[in-house]
Amino acid sequence: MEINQHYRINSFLEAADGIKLVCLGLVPGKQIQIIGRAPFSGAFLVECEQKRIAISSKELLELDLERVDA
Amino acid sequence: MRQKTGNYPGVTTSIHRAKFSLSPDTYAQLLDLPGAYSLYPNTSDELQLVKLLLDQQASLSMYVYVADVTALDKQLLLLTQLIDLNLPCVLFLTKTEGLSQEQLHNVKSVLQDEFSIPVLPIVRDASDNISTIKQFLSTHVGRTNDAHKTYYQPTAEQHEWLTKIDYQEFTSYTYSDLIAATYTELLPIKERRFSKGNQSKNVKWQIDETMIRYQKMQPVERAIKKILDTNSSSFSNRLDAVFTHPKLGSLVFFGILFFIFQAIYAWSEWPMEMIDRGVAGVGEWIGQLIGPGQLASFIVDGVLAGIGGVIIFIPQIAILFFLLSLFEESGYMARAVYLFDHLMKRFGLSGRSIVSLMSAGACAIPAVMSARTIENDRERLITILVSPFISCSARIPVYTILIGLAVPAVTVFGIFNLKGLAFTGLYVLSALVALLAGFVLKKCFKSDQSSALLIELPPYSMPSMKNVLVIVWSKVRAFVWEAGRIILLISMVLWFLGSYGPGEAMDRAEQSAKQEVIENKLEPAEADALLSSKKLEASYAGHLGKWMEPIIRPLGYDWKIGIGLLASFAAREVFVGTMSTIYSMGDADEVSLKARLNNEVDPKTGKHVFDFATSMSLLIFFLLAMQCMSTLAIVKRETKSWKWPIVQLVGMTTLAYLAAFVVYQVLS
Repeated sequence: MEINQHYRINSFLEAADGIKLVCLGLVPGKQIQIIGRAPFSGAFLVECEQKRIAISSKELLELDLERVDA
Repeated sequence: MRQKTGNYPGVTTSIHRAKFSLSPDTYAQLLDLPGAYSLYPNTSDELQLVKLLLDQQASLSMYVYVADVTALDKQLLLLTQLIDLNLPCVLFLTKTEGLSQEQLHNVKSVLQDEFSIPVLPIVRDASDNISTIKQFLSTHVGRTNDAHKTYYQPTAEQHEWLTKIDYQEFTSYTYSDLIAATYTELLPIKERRFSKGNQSKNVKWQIDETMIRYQKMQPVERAIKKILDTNSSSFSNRLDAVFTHPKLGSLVFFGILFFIFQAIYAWSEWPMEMIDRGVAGVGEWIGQLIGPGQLASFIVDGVLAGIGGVIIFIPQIAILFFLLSLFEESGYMARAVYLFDHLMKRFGLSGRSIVSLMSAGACAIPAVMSARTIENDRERLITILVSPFISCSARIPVYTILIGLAVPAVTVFGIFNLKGLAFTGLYVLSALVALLAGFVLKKCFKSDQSSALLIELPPYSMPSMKNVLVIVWSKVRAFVWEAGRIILLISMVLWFLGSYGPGEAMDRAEQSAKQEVIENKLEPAEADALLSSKKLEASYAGHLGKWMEPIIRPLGYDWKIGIGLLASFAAREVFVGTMSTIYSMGDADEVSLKARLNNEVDPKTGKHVFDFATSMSLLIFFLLAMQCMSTLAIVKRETKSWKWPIVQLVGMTTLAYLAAFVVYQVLS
């Protein structure tokens, strides 16, 4: 994952906590931007429709993401 | 009702109840429920909400749904579920500051048209909020669900599954039957087998349902976005550039902690001095008014010493809660969770444990309760077990006295108060011990449960001073009332134990002291001190302290400190009140507890009792020992077992004893 890069969520992989992702607005079709990463290779900070969400790398990898231009 | 509430999950972690008057002759009961995003919860606090919503017996007249107007896209999901449960709802909109009357009116219209429920925007800090809310509730209480729309109904496949469960309560296979069937624990045991075997399918159904709800909500979401048309997040984003920066953000976090602990010590110095002098003045005045005797001794040494031991710490506790509330209210805490989640996991904890551990800096009880928001069972248990290691406000009185004795009052590097640095050091040490304990416990407990961070960071907002002050007031009041009652009671019991003794022991002590005074030709002040000391030693308290002295002597403590330690197992802060009572009986002239302790000399060795080694040993003992009955009771409630509070009590106290032993032996 690259910082400041935009991605589109295509789908959730099987192990994803789908309910929670959906509850936070991370639904297939939406675009996210990686804003930053916590120290010690920690969680990612992503922005989705002006909302900021902290998501651990494990959970982010459960999203099928497609790189898109801003 | 003075409860800390918030309209995002994790603030209210249990159900709070309060009675209030809707009108002069109508009373209502209000239940404040834990927040959630949906009816499919991940944490135990969210599950409480679902249980109550499905409880037919609860039969509440009205459900007040509180939503943040700036985050309606996520917060309306649960509302659509409540409507499908056919519950009579009204909607309160918060975070409306900055919106024009026209915007509020338009948002309200869109929501009322969509959901067919009454909507009330709440303007923060408005003077007429309470009366507006009461009037609104009075108007709509008893209304039925008028919603003409359903957002989701069980599919054919779900119908089939509900039929298989064959539970007599499921008659028409409605949405509420579906939710009840999803939570196997809500079903009778016989019916659980079908429900349990469907978990993976359930997750897929829940995602499908959530997606359908979002799709149906999209027109409303777009309409509201158009009305609000704000870019308020740009300010938050600029702050986040610093606060969530991997390096800068960590520095800011530790800077905030450092500032809090310096402030507790530095800002509270003069008000504490004033209170100390005030209590001493009142004591002298009462002494002169009543004259010498047992009554004056009881009031001054028993009651007033206990009260003084409580109220002197109000400034420090108020400052701590004031600063913690400011950071919580501003939205900063979620950033700290994000920054340290990964690091905390290495110690068996979760990023959310940061909130618990910081709360534990005030009190372990809310810290243990706030661990409910941690989804992973192992991380939650470890958070509960290690939170009491963090130095809480009850330790402040003990630290203050002992640092006052062990650390000189000097300024270092031109700006830092050395006592303040020592104070900060104790907090840092307690945090390190908590992390180390977490690491050890992580190795002991195995878990296959997933543990991933997924939280929304709320936009920064200016803290409401009214809310902050209400929190400070309620915490100070709780400290004075709850801890104060125990301290006062123990002070009075100790006065009795220190003033009376078995058989004729007290008379013999008096005779022996008088003889010594004559033999050594002592001055009146020295004679008084000798008499008080001999009588205390011969009293019930003296016998109790002497009985436990062999156990605590290796730590550098005498029998008087032993009495204090014994009493402090009820609550740590009792130690100072106890010391105040015991030492006021030994030295009637000295009014300040610190000065009394400083002057205390061991009659056998002639050395100061509270020398550097003993003071440091006591500090370490109080830093590590589990001395709070209320916390143990909460841990029992949260873990639903006596096993964990007993493990905590034995483990922490053994560790405290060994560490205090090492510290004393090395330093002496």
